[in-house]
Amino acid sequence: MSGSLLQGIPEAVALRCLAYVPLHHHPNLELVSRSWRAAIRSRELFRVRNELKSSENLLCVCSFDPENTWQVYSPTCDRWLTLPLLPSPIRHLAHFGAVTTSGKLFVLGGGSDAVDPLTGDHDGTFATDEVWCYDFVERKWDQRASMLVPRSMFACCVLDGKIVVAGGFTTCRKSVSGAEMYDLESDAWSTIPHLNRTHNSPCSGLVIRGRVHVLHKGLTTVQVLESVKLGWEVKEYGWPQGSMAVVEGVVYVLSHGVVYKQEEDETSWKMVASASEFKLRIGMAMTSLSGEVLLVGGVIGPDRHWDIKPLSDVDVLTVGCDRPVWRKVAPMTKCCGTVLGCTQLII
Amino acid sequence: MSESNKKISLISSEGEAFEVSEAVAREFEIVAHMLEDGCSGSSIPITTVDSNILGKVIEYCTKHVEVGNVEGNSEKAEKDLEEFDKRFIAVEMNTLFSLILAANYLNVKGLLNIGCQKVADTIKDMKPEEVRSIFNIENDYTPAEEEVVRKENEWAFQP
Repeated sequence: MSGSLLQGIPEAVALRCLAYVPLHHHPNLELVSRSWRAAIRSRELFRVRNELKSSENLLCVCSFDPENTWQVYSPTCDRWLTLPLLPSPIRHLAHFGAVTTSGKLFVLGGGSDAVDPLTGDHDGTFATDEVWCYDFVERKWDQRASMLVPRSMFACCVLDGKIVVAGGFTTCRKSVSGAEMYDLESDAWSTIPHLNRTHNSPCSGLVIRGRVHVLHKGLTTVQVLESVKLGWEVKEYGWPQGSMAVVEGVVYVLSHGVVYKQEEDETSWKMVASASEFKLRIGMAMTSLSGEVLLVGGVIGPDRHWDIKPLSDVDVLTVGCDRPVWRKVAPMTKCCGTVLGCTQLII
Repeated sequence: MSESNKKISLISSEGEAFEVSEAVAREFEIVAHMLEDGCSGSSIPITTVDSNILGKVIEYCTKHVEVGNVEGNSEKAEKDLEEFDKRFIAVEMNTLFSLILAANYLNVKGLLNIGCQKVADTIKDMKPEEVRSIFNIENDYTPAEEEVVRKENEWAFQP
């Protein structure tokens, strides 16, 4: 590191000052000098952020347009920043898994959603085994060890710091029951117990109070993984169908224009807010961030009067208070349309 | 709490004595360590901190000890303390740096944290040129290097 960061201030103390600066201000402050740039891009800075508890909760989103573009939202700055393009050779990567762990964003598997505008044919890969990792300190994408099985439309979660993938499709006709687990340290995949049930439908994963839940679209069966040793447990939950988000261990579901909250008995659901204004909106992501429920992106229509309208809107439901209300926050600045990936990041 | 009435003198770099209760002096971790190491003298020289800054640090610690001693009513007390911190740290840059240096040397964690937070809040919305001029930092980028970093910045925030 050349030169001191702040004249007359010990380096460690200057780094403490920088550690309180939100991530979204980093690119600007990097322009100050070489030593500032080196400090802002150091692992040490992120270690100090962690130590000072100035880590932030951010949201990473990728939507249909523009292709392979990820944006990151900061609720404290109410601002979006764009990551460098995902360097996958697959155009319009979709149906992938997206999670964060150890302050890194992972984009796993999926296939191309690119359509030939002349023929209407889908081109390219249906399912890949590729794994991409974005390092927020180095600010670049790297390819990691590929999954053992190529898959698309699968469940993807983090369990005890390790990435778990399960189910999905490996070709357009063949669904998979296999599951695997990725260890960051060793950059290696290993098989874990298969799902007990395979269904011919896309599935998604949700971590609820430390347990992975795999839900198949249109089915009430939920498969639960508490630890790899115990394997999967099949539950008939009869949960409402719809987008789900987990806020501080509590499940919320958006079903038929209403947001419901799961009660403590884990079987009944309580209405918390109307979401009728979003009834025309499809393809959006429902997620949680800093104790609130967020609806991100999606499309409206089509209708007699208009074609499909891609959205970049973000609506927040303050579920923490007695009477939750919706409010709008800064819309995505680049991404719009159907959300393909959406995951929380702590850094 | 038997020794809570014990007074300790902290001596500034100018030789001025500040008499404080032991509880307040113990907020300075460096002093707390001295006391634990059996340093029984009732006056402790703080040679690197001047009277003005030492007075302020003592004011900060006194307030925090007072509030810490009040039982119950914790939510209001916490809010008051937050307000106090906010007013206390709203000082011009030179004083802020002196406070941070003193808090670092004396090891007063709370004060160090609000000081660093204040610096962060001040710089985060500044233009790089403003940061350079305020902190007297030389721009050691070559124009080509600077252009690369600027481009990355534009990519991140332009719609």
